[in-house]
Amino acid sequence: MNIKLNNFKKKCEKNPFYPIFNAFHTFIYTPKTITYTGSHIRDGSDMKRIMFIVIISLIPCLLFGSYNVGYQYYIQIKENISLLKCFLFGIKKIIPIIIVSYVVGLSVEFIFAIIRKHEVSEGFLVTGLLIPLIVPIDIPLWMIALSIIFSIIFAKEAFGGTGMNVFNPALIARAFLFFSYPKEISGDKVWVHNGNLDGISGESIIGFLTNAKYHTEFAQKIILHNSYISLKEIFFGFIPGSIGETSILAILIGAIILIITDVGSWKIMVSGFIGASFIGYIFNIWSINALMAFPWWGHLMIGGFAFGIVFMATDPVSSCQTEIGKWIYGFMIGFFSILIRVFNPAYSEGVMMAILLMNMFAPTIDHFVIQTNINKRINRLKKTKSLII
Amino acid sequence: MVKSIYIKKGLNIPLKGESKKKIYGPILSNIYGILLSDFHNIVPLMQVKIGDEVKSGDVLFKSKADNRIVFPSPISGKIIDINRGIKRKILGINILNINGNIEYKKYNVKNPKDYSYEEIKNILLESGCWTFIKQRPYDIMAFPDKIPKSIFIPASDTNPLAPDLTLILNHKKKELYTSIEVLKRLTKGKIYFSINDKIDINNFNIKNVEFYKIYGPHPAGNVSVLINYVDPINKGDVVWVIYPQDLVIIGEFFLTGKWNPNRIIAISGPQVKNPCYIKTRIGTKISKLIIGNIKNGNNRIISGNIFTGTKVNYDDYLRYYSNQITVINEGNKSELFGWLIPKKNKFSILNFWSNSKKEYYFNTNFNGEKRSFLITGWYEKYFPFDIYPIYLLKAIINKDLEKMENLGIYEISPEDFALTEYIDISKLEHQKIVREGLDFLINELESNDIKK
Repeated sequence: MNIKLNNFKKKCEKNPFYPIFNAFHTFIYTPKTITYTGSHIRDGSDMKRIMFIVIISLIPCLLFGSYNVGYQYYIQIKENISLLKCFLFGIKKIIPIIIVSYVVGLSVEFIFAIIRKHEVSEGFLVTGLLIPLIVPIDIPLWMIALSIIFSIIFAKEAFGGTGMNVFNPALIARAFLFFSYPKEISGDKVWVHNGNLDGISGESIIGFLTNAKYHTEFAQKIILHNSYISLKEIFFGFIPGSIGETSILAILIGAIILIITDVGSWKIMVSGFIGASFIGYIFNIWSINALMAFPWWGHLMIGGFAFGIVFMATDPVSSCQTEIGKWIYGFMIGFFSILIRVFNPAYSEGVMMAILLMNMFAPTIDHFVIQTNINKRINRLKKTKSLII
Repeated sequence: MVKSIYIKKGLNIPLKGESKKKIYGPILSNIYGILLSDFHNIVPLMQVKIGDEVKSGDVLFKSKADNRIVFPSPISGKIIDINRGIKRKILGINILNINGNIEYKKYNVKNPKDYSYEEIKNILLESGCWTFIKQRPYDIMAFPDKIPKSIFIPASDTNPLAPDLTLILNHKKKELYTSIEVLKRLTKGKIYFSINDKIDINNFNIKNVEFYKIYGPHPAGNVSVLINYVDPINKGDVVWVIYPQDLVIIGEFFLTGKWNPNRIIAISGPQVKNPCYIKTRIGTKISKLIIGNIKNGNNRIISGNIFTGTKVNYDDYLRYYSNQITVINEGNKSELFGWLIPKKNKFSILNFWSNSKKEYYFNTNFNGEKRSFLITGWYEKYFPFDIYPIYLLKAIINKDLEKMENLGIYEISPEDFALTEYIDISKLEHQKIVREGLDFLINELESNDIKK
């Protein structure tokens, strides 16, 4: 079978559709190319495997998200809930989004591979799963398609394809939705299926806190007193929100997978949480409204912050590339996420903005880190020269 | 007094087939070969033609850029072939030695202490010993007119299945001492000698040399690590590097006045039946060295180690600078879902079940396709220098001379990028990129020296 494929591949090497064929062929069979100069052996892993590990780390979020979509819906319409029922309900809603995401995204990638005559890169395998996890459940499919087309063309291929992009393509897709169709992706009605019906309150916690007219002390005790939502519910993720972002537990499992395999940078994750805690703590001291009074550790658990910092901020292409830079980059993302969340209620969630902002500044941070290394070298040269003179 | 250096970053490749500590031989062949691709940046000026009789040590060719640098014949006999490639570029020279008797070109040599700097430099150049002196930066044969600020002798090879130098040097102590005396004439700076924990330095009586014991995984044993640690190269500096086995040849020359380029090489690798050491000579035919000792299958024979060696065939010759021959499997086979299915006997830094204490059969498959730089922070984990590898590689690809200098290209050589090349998920050819960068610098900055 493979020999036939190889022979066929040789025949169609000049065919414009060759990259597509090659993409499918290398997906099924690893290529038999061998080294000829330099290092005669190569490590057993390749880009496909790295991307696959990220996908595995997203699976807990996807599975829990599917369940939560059903759970939130049934709890609102006050029907009795079984685990399987919730899960199937959610899966039925999510699968079309994933299919649209992959089909549209890969089509655009293939078209670009043909036009630009380069290999189809594996980057979209992850982006294509990330996008469904960061949108509300009732998002129209055509919007998903449109946002993906926009993000791949303008955020990725315009810069030269996977590895060259400045911004995280998944977040660009979400930002596109956010600014083009704010009604479908923000507010208090979209986070639960059929949220526009009367009697269903699809408010996210951040939305709730933003609109809270309560006394600040009361807001501070929301979580502790279980009057609105319990800590356990927040941790396990039984709260309204975008599809995959609600469960801290699922995100934690993903984070552990990413850290063990070293695919995601633990430095960015840790410094991100430090940055968010830092600003959250300052706001706690200040505490003039409900969002500020909300405990700093609670800020880490609500909204899309955890998901963003674990899966989006650690994107190796758009994040900082130096190890010191990663600490700064992560810290700033955490810092700005909570800052935007608290100070700008129009953008109910700040992590998307914070990451995109820091994506833009990542090369600048790297530049200064590299510059210190260069200066060290120049100083050493000056020192030795002065010794000779 | 031995100082210690501890290196944490790096990885020892658990390749199967380490040589047993037994030396066979000497094994010699009828036909010997010198290949010009071993001498980087050297354009030859032939001094012999087909049919000439040569002695061991007679000049085969000179460097066109610097006529003082000569390349001696490793054996006596008749020149039977001068191989040429495209545009009549000379590829190699073959010498036939039928009966195994070696005639030597005789030199009158004194005790190295009795020579002046100019005299010893001239005799090194004249005899061909100069071919063993490499310089940093650029990792090429040393320019004769530059005086090194220090000389490094790396006896701490950490490459996969590297030959055990204790075994080799124990027989050649006298030669080693003599050649170190030679080196002392050549620099006003220090001579640094790096060793790894396999070598017991108390066996050797070497004086006026600074010893550094290096602990840690590959590339800890690379000479660049030591240079960066003790005496980093700044712009304009030159240091020399001479490998221990080459020192032995130089030492023997100064003891006997004969050019006798013998080596003890390790035959190793997973495809070798009986991994061992063989005493032989530079330019010996590969088939003589490994015949009957190779397992069946589609094999790749590498003259050198798996990181920096050269692919050779049975008909080729032992390369000029090689201290070992490694034989591994060719990996030109496709695997069904090879990227996806976890495999127990495939070593990968990504597989947390991969155990670096177990031995693995590696093959030459790329295990993937070329991509652009993507994953960050991985190279740094296997790169124990104060250099940002991705940025340096990008500067080289962009041919940005100033940036290359600033990011520290003088401090490294291609072999330091062998490990990052191995672990690279994007499957780029780091060593080739670095070599091109160094060549670019030579052309831009040192062209006057070469033209002289």
